[in-house]
Amino acid sequence: MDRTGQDERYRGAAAEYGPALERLARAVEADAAERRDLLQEIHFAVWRSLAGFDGRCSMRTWVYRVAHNAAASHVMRRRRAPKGMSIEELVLADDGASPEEIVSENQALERLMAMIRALKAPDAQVMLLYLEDLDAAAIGEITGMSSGAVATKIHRIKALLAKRFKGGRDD
Amino acid sequence: MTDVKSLWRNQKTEETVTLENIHRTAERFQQRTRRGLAIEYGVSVFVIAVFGFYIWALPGSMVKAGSALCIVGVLGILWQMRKRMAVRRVPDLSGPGLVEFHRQELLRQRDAVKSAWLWYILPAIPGMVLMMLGRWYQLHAPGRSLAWDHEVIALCAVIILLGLGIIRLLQVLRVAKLQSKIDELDKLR
Repeated sequence: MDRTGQDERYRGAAAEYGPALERLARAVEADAAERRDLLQEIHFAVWRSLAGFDGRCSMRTWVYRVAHNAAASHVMRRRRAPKGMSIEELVLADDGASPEEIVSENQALERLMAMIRALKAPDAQVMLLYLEDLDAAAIGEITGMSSGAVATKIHRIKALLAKRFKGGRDD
Repeated sequence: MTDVKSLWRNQKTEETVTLENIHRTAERFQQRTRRGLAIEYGVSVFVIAVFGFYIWALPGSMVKAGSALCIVGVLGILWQMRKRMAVRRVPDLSGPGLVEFHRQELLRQRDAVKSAWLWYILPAIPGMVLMMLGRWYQLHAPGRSLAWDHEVIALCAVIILLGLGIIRLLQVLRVAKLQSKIDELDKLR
């Protein structure tokens, strides 16, 4: 594929999934400057990969997988990457704030980001993809986990969200 | 606040990445790759130059042979590092899943570091030993007594051995750290 075709595909993917990619970068990286670099890196990875897109899976699966791979590499490269908790550990942990204390959407988002960043990378990916409204099969296809393992994690994510957010709907 | 998913998906996004930026990143990426290769070749040329100079300048057949062996050893180490430790590009899609890819990478790194005594430490030893023996038997530093000269050589040998020991200890610790990361990933499967 020539560069023009690759650019064209990228434009389409960026238009459709750009906001999700930004949310991914925001969840993974707290530092604003590093976040911009990470987002750039993710977009670059997507653009580069589209030269080899063969249509064997949906564009959504392709873009998410490339983006999550790039984000995971970023996390693993960080010098002082936190060890991270599993979803199960996070369900049991107490972050000291009650759901009633969350009064604004910004506070809720900050709490959500903190939860995602506290997770081990693979668990954080499942949670992010769940928040992007992907089902267990799609998440499994993207992360390489079995759909059974993903379903179990989603079940725990729902429990976690219900516990941490007042009235958090567990759908 | 009733729906966390909606909250997540409706948050305001503001960053823009242009195609021009992507193209510039692609150019920088290629430049970095070229620079990495240049450094690698630069180190090789430096090592060959230093030990090549020893071969030419220092007397004693054992020291000359030791220097030649050091060149071979360091080139062997560079080749092995490139072969075993090179960071693989994260697969775009066609490869294994993300977790499996990172697990394979960790396994590869662990095995490479585990066997590093064989390909990182051992190749450097014959040349150094031969150079030391050459200094011991064939070269005597002017103005020093033979006993003092031998003590200096023995001290150098001990320092080198200690250095190699520390490198090996760091490798062992690295293997343990990689193994614990692999164990963590295995729990997710």
